[in-house]
Order: sequence, then C-alpha cells, then structure tokens
Amino acid sequence: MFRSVVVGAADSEGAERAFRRALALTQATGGTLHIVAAIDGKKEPKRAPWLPEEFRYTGFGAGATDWLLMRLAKEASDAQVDVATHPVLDDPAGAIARVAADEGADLVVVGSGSAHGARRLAHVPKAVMDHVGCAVLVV
Amino acid sequence: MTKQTLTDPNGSADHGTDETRPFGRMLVAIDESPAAVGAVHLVAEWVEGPGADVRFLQVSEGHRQERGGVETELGAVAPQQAHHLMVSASTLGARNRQLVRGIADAAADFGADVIVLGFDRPRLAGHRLAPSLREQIMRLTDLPVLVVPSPKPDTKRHHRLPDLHRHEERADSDRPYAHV
Repeated sequence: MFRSVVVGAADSEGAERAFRRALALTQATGGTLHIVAAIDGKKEPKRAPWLPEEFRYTGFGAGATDWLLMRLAKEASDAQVDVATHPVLDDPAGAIARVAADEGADLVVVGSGSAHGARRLAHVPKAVMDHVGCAVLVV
Repeated sequence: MTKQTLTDPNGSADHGTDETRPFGRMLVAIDESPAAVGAVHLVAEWVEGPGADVRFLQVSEGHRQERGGVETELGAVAPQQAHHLMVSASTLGARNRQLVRGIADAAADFGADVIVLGFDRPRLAGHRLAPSLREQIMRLTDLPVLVVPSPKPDTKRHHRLPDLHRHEERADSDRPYAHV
C-alpha cells in the first residue's frame, strides 16, 4: 500500500523517531524508503567547490550528512527494506516536499517537537503538511 | 485541557511510544468529504495488508438549524463500523474543543495506536483555524497522527461554492421573504 515512503534525516529526537516509524511501516508494507537529508549550503563547508552544487557537500571527506545517511541506509538495508538516500540542497521542509513529489510518495513521516512537556507541531511538519499532496504521518 | 494517558486494555506497553512496530489499532476520524473517502481507502488497504483493528468516528459540525443536538450519518463510507460523535455546541470555538476532546477520548477508549484524520478541515473548522485543530489533537495525545489529504481536484473551494449558491437561490425563490 505504501510503495514509496519519505522520511527526513536529521540529528534530532523527532527525526530519529520518524525514521524508526517509517522503517517499521515500510518493512510491513514492502515499499521503498526514501531518506532525505537537507543540506544547508550556508553552514556546510564546500569540500569540492569545482563540482556542481548538488555534489559539493557529499561524497568527499564523509561529512555529517554523509555519515547520517549512510548509517540510516545501512539500518534499513539490514532490516531488508529497499532504501534510497537523497541529500538535497534546500531547507528541510522543501527538501522533503521535493523528494515526495519526485518519487510519487504515498506517505511522508515527520517527527514533532516538544515544548514544556507537551507535543507541538514545529515548523517542518507544518510546512510539509501544507505542501505535500500525500498522507503525512506526524509521530 | 489535560493530556490523555493511554491505557492498554490488555495491560501491555503503550502503543503510542513503540516506533518499531506497525499500527494495530486505528482510530479514524472522518466526515463526509473526499478526504474521508481517501482515509477509508487507505485504512482498508492497511487492514487487507498488515491488518489492524479499526474504529471509525464520524465528526460533524452540523447545520446551523440543527445546533443543539445533531448526529449525522456516515452514509456510504463505512456504515458497519461507524461510531458517532455528537457535536452540539453553538459556537465554532466550542465545537472545535469538542471535536478535539472527542477524538482524543475516542482514541484513548479504543486503545488506538494511531489517529487517522480524514476530514475536510475548511468545512469543519474554517480555513484560518485548520492548523490549530490538528495541532490541538497532537498536543492532547502522544499518539502518531496520520493526516490524509483530500484529492486535490475535488477540494478546491471555488469548485464547490457555485453549486451551493445555485441551491440556495432555488430554495429562496419559493419564499415570500428575502434571504438575508
């Protein structure tokens, strides 16, 4: 049923929770898990400035984004799940929406933040829900 | 509002915090909009695949003439599984709170491990309040919330409004007084 599931990768508790849930759902339904990492071009060092922009921040020197994607992809592969990784030069919500559209996603899984002990809907899940045309699971 | 604490009828661990297993008990809140049909189809596929216990909860703000007690029918969506939620307050804010509380309570009573929202938000809450409605539900419960969108071609307001206008004009033309 979920042939294409998109989840964002980030160094946060919400993103980790979203990945776990997306992995379990993809494993149960037999689809492909697309892991999206948004790259902030202003913060990331340009390791290979002679390359086209989309390749400047990955593949050389294994930066934080590379390691995160590799770790999550390996975890998905170990769970017998088809997985694809997408480093995208965009803000997190824009990156997720772009990959969801490109891959014809059936489901996008996003984590929610928390404030003062209560769950809150942070900017990224809000923006994702407003911009993607498929079902969105907030965990 | 106080946060809902889920209690598992079987006494097992809280489903809402276990991210490693797929959903087994789904509370589906729907109205009669295209989003509801999308939600029912999605849940039906899930039941056929991994399988789950499902409870449908119909939500409605009711018609203005019927405020004070309205229970709507689920129609052709899933009549066998419908559970009704009465929404009877007279103001939009009160109705919102009742909706949110009703959905969260129903999820807790059912022992759901996910809440599926399949309703047309502009119809239920007004466009400006739509984000706060789903956010209120997420604040009130720790359960994952699956938001199912309406199919895009059917949800544009400018496609529906002309039909409503024509209907009202026909009804008013028979009346001896002007409709204000």
